[in-house]
Amino acid sequence: MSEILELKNISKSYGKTKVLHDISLKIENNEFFTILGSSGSGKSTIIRIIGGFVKPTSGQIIFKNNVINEQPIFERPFNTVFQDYALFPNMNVFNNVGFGLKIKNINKLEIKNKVQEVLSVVGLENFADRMPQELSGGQQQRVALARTIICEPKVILLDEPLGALDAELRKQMQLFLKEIQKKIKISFIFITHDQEEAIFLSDRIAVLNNHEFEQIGSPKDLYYSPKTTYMAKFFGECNLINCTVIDKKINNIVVDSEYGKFSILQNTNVSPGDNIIFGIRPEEIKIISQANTNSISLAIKDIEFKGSTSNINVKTKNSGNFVKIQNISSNISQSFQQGNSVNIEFNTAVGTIFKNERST
Amino acid sequence: MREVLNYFNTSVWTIISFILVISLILIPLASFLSYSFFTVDGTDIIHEFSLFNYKEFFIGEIYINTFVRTIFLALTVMFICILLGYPVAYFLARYASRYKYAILLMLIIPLFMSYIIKIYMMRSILGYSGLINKILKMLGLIDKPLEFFLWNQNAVIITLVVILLPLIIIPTFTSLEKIPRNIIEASFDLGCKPFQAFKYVIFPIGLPGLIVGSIFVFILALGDFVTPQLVGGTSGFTYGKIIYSNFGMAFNWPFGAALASILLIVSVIIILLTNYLTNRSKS
Repeated sequence: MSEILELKNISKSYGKTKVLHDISLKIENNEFFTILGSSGSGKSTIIRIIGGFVKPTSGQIIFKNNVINEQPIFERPFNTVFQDYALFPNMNVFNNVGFGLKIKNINKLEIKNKVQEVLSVVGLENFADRMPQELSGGQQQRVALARTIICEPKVILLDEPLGALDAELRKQMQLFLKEIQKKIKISFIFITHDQEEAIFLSDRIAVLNNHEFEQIGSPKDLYYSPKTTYMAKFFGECNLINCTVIDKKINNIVVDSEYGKFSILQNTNVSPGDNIIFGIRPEEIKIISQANTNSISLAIKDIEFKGSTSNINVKTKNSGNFVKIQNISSNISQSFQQGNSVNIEFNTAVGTIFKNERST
Repeated sequence: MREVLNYFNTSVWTIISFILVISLILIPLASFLSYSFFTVDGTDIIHEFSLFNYKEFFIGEIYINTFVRTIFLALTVMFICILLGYPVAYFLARYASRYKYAILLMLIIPLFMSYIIKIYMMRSILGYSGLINKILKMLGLIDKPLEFFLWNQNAVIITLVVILLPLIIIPTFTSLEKIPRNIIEASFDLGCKPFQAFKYVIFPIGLPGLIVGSIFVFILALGDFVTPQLVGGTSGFTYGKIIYSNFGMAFNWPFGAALASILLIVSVIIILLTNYLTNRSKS
């Protein structure tokens, strides 16, 4: 894969209000890239900078080895699908979709053929004569996408395009977007605040937190190797346990925590006395019937019945903090009751050790 | 019970609104129209059906000529108002972000002022010893006052433009301001240069406001009779003034009513026509 677009140390502030700080990323050819962040994190500003609607305070936008900071919007080889579609209310579907070509003075016959072709790609062949106001949200969405595809941009920027749709339609549109991106082979930069959506759609995800990128990687990278406790918490669920290192051998770090002593079967550069945070996903914890050398005995705080599986929260006798255990078959969880003492074992080989971080 | 009450309520309000429209608009219009078919004998109105007044209009060249001239006058006023008002509305809606409502308020304030006072004010600006002539004289550009500004058609046009300008700016501003920013952004995004964005997106979407404003200006300029009376002199004779003089000085109400009915019909035709044309250009 070759790289097509790069942001280098982009910062943006309005007066004293910082919106983005030192954002760098590389977009590859034909990639579905998602920027994931909570509202107000500045994620829309990133694609507005790429699209040319906002000038960065500092940093460079590089397209195919050229800095394009000063290139006006209408010359940039990117097109945007806006949050609320922004279809032209004075034009029907056909003219909305053909607009980009009309501006480039392409002859009418060619426009007609291309519009038909693109409309069939998005499944709206029979809607060419409709006005935008006569379409449902999902259909407007498709028109907005068709309008960008027809311009054959190098990158399509999607600014939370599914935000306004209801859950059912949202699922359909996710599938649709994913399929169409594979079909037309154009890089997508997709903005969302929905993790599940990001995981489902993306080749790579950049998580934006507090105006900076927290981590960039494939969905699996982000899940299995979070770089910070924020990432561990934000991306899926995670138990974060404050520990003190007692002893360190090769592939075995013995720690003490508020829940008791256990061994972490990993090799990391820590020394006795260090305070670390051990992050472990709720599904990597087992309840075992027989205590062993590395198990901890805790009391059941509560059991959350979820249907076929249940979650069990366990805690020590006198602490409010608890550890969450997930994906326990409900057949098994039924045999437990609140207050029962259980032996649990961490699958410490897959947990993550965070050094130099305060617990949250 | 509640449904019955609701039903009763809605139907009562419907009936009241019908009564208001009929008694305050339709009945006066009908009586007005019926007067146009009467004739006068001296100062007495003869209540018998006759097409005499309409015949008079089409035979007496002066009426048709004045009518056509007044239409041109109104069109001129309208086009000048568009040329001056559209840029102002556009600027206000798109660029004067923080001050736009303050500026708009300044444009609206003159609408609260008496119409007559504004005309007199224009007279004191345009007159032989008015502001403009005084300034030009002071600067030594002219020896004797210019007669270009007062007691002629120019004066009528200038005065009407000054008075009616806010009426075109306000609806145009409103419809331009309503255009969502991201629609304009989308046009740039799809490759529009600024002028193209204006031509294909901003102008067409804002057009209804401009049309409403233009119709306001045109209809008001067409029927106006005070302005020509006060600043027009003899060459500023307009159709509105003829109607006025038939009701006032000549005391020929039926003929005045006939002239006014013709004006009304032409105005309605123009409104319907514009409406039809805008609807057609949309689809």
